[in-house]
Amino acid sequence: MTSMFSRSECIERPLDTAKYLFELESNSGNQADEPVDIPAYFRTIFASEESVNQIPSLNDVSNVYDIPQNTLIRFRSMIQNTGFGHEVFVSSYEIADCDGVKQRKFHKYSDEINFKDVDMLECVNSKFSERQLFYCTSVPGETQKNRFQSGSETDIEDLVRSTAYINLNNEKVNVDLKEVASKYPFPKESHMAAIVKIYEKDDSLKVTDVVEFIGVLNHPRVETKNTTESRCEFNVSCENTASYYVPSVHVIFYRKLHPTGNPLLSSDANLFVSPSDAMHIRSALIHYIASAFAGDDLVAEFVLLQLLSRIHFRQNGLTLGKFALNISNLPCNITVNRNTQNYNSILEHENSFAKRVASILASLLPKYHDLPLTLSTLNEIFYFPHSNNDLDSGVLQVSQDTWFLVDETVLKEGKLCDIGVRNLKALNDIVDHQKLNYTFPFNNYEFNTDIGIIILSSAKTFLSYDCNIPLIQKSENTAILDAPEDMLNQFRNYISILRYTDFNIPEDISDYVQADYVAQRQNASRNGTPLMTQQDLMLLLNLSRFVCLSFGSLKLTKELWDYTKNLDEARRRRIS
Amino acid sequence: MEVIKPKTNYIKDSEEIHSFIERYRDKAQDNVEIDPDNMDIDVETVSPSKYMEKLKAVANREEDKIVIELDDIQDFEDNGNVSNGLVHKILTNTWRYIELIYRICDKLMPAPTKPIGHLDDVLDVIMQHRRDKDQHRSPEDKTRFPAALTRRYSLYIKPLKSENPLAIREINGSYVGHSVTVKGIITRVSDVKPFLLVAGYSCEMCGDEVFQEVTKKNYTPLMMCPSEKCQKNNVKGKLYMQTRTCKFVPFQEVKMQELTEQVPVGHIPRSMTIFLHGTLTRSMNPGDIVSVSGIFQATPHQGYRGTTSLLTDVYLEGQYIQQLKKQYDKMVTTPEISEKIQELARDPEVYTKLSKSIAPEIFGHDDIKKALLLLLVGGVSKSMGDGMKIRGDLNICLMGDPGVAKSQLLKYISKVAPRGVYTTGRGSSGVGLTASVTRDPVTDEMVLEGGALVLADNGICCIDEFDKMEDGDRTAIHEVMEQQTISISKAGITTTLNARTSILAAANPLYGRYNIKKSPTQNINLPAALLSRFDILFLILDKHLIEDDTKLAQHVAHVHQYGKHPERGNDILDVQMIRHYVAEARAKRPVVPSEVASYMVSSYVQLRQDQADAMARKQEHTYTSARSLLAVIRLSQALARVHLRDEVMRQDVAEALRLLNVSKESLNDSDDSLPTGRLYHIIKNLFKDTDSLPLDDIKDEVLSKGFSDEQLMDIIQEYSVMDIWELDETSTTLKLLNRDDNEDEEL
Repeated sequence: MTSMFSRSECIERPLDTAKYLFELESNSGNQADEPVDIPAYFRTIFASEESVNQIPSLNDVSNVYDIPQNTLIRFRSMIQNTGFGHEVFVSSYEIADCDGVKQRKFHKYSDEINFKDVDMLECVNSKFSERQLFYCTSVPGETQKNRFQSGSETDIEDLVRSTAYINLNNEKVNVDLKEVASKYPFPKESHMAAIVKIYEKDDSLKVTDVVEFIGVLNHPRVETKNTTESRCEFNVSCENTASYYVPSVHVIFYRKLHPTGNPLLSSDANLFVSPSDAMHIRSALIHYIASAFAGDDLVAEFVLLQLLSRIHFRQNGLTLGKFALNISNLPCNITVNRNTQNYNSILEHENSFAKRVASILASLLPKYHDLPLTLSTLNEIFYFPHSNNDLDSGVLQVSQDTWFLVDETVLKEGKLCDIGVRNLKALNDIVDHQKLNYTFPFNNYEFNTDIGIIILSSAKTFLSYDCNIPLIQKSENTAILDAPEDMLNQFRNYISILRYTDFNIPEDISDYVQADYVAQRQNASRNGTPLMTQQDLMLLLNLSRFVCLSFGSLKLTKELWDYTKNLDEARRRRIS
Repeated sequence: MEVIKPKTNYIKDSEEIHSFIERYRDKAQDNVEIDPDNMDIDVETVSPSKYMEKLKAVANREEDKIVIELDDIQDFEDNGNVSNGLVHKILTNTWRYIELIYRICDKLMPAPTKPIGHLDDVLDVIMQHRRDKDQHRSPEDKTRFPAALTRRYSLYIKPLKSENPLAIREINGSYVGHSVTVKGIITRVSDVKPFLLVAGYSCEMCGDEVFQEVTKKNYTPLMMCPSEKCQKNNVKGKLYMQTRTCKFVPFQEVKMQELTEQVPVGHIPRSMTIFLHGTLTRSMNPGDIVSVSGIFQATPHQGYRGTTSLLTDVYLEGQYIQQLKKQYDKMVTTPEISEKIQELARDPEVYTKLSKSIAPEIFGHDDIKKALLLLLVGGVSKSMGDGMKIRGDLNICLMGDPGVAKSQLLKYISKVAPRGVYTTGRGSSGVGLTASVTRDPVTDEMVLEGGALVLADNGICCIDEFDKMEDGDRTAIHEVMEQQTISISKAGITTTLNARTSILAAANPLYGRYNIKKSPTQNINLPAALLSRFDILFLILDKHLIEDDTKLAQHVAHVHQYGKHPERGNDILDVQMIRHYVAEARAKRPVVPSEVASYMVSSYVQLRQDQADAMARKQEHTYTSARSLLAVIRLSQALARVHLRDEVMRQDVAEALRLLNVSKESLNDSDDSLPTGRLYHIIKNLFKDTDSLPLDDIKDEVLSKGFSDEQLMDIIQEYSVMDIWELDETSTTLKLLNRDDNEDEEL
């Protein structure tokens, strides 16, 4: 297929391109036996990364009206809800003008119909098709790209950047907007949302997947909504409100993005970090992380190991690779004072120590978010997605490879209400099984997650955890090490590549580990000290995996096993 | 592409439907027909058609709905009475055919055989008036009453029995206009509202009644009087709607959501709107699992005013509702699954196979897993004529050191059991566990809320940290464990709730870890009354045994090495399969034949005897009482169920006794708490058939049991002094002295 349209034409008037392709076909008499592959045409035009980058992105604009209607756009987003089902629409229709001349019109990738055509519509010859509807939001917790900082006193209409300009004197609209805002995991944070309409059937797209959609933008329909119209309190057939306030994207094609957000990993290139590089970066990285932990290198090393953890196996309730780290013995100095009235329900650390750790994590990780455990956040904000009529999000509904720094030091004694108890259960489920329950009326649905959790606490945390290490502050220096950007990039690549590196345990090392375990138990039994349990062995094996990866080693060796054991021993000594 | 549709011959079809309604008799009526005594009488008068009967009932105002069963039409069709394909036509163009059938029914409607009495609705009187009026109208007069107005019944289509219910996500645009059956859970229902079927107006000028049939959700009211009188006079008579002359039907909107098993992994359940009219309203409640048949309809999208779009809204026009089993743990078996179950049942190893598949990620504990399998299957509950009930559910208590995977076992069981509830003794108060009375925040009414035990009715309640529970709360469990009910009396509500649940409890020893210096009774620290209610009590200690340790290390290392469980035996059955098998097994009600019963009795007597002996030696930690006999019965019934047998066999009893023994052993094992005592037993066992053994053999055995060289030498030294054995000069062979003495001691 030759390029009949320039790239900029395709971006500015994608519908014309699609219509032309369609008409080209129907005129040639080729009657829809083999429909023109419009997605394929667009794919060839936007084959290179650089050409895709020319398409305006919904993620980059502060107001959806900055991009004109029916423009080709891209939207990097997380799928929040796949439960909308299909939508039946007219894919092409026939009009007959007053002379009776019939003409078939193309009506894909659009919700609007040409007004002139309405009167001449020949309903009988309309062709129906279906498209799948997803609700998508911008990827929650992204640290690097275009995060629009939300002030603490944001008005509700600023929160959802995608909503239309509406007269806010109307109270009902305000309520509706809140409903839209509740579909984003983090309340009171600015984000972009859209209804994404997919024309090909694809069951591989799942909830919390991160996908870049490329398609035609349709502005929110809200200006046509008659706000005086009374909406009955309960009307089951009433379409959900969100679709009136957010734009829709008629997807022409899309691509799944790698969960790390590292574009290098999306490519097929075989990436690895050589052991010598790894060794070098490793010590620099530990030093960098330690600067947030008052120079405690051991804690920093465990944090690094945590960052390298990934769920790599899941079967029959067994989840390998999960590693929730609890750092205890933390000083609690709440220095951050906010004067706004409702600062409590904002998920932002107040403990200055946690803030420092958070800034380090945010600089290293693609997706990260604060999670201070205050009574008010626990009792007011939903952590788990829940549904009454349509699915509202919860803090923990995030895409794979998102980290949370849970700060328990700010928790005070008090009463936990129903939501609070269920929130804690959701958090514990993540730590224990990496599973999150979405609650629906009468039944729950369990979704697998891969969320990194680091818990800061004064004493041992009351949440579940896999590994606990008390902090020992070494220096009074609270300044965070200043790392240059290229160094940070090196760190980021190191973490994201090594996390996805394949790793194995050779047979002989496996035997060595087994013998070691038996011997240890034998010794403990003789000396009357506590026996090493199955959990201890699992933890050690998990740790050894992360240790090996951190050294850039693709397989376990005796030396690294012993290193792991010593590391764990050092941690145990701190506990006792 | 032009779709070529075969021209449907509606006239022919309606003739066929006509004859169907007039002539169809179902099987039961056919039997009457062949009754020889009635042979000579005209069949038509004896047994009028099934549907004519119904029409008659409608005419006599005894009935207000007619359900046309497609199975009947299929039957009629199969007998060659009508051309083939009528059912198919109805299924794919349902709305049109319902209209047809309505018209035919109207035509066939017999005159009422009962006169209108004072008891009848005023509506019927009006209807009669209208019908009379219609009959007196001249044939040219077109202003007849709309059929919908005079009709006083609704017509529903019942789908074929063979039709399989679909999931909501399976229904797509190609089903529009078809009759489909959908299965799901009802999440919301709206209030029942009147739905305008026929709008009635009266003209302010001529007083004429004008009617308008409403077929859509939206309609434009008539404004101008179309009557002849007004037209003649050339006045524009204004019409006013008269609510009293309108016809309304009850209308309800219902939202149905997909069931858990219908949603692919990683997706959000979808929902669908169902419209119900007439008598079908109020037939579903939120939480019901139903399959609803209806016509899948599409209407132009009704957005907010002013939107022009070519979208359509879809909904299901409800026709027939089938309430499915309330307990949705009721398994739907497919032929493949039932075949696999049968295949499993034939396998003599099924018992071990199933028990091995329980919590496969937890290594070892084979006997405990066996007991847990029996817990899932359960014994047979009986209720006597006099209201006495015999519990069939098993109760098991696991006690042991922290970190021996008790909680994992509990959680696994709570997941596998169709109604499993997991709770911790510390986390839930007695009220939370049993039941509580709360005030509903919306309606302000008092509500009785079941706690974990009530929720687990007909299931398994797993209580972790049983020892940490408040004593008062534990007493509430006494009742559950034996009587299987919960009585509450609170806020003026006194009631007894069923809690036919098995209890699986896990407890830590009193001092956190099992203290080998203390007796088991002291370690367990649960009142005897409670302990005796457990059929089996297992003590799991974290003991160092080289063999087990090695196996465990291998297992764990393997999982980490290859990212999968090592292949053990043949195959591990998945959770779904276990559930299906257990459901199948639970359907059996094995009986105890007399000879097995006598065997049971004799074993029980033996158990009592053993206990008396143990008491004499002050070594008893468990109590053998009448409850133990019941436990043996329950366990052997469960075993028979596992093999899908209808009779308990001797081997089942033997296995039940073995399990009980093992559980007791697990307590007694720890009794030889001093290492020397245990060592002595181990060594003595080695001397079973011989008087002397090479020391190296003994050493190997002892070391593998977790003892050290020094301990061995110590004990040899110690017992040599007591003249029990002696070491030869070269220190290579140990020789037992006074063998007879030993045996006496054992007896």
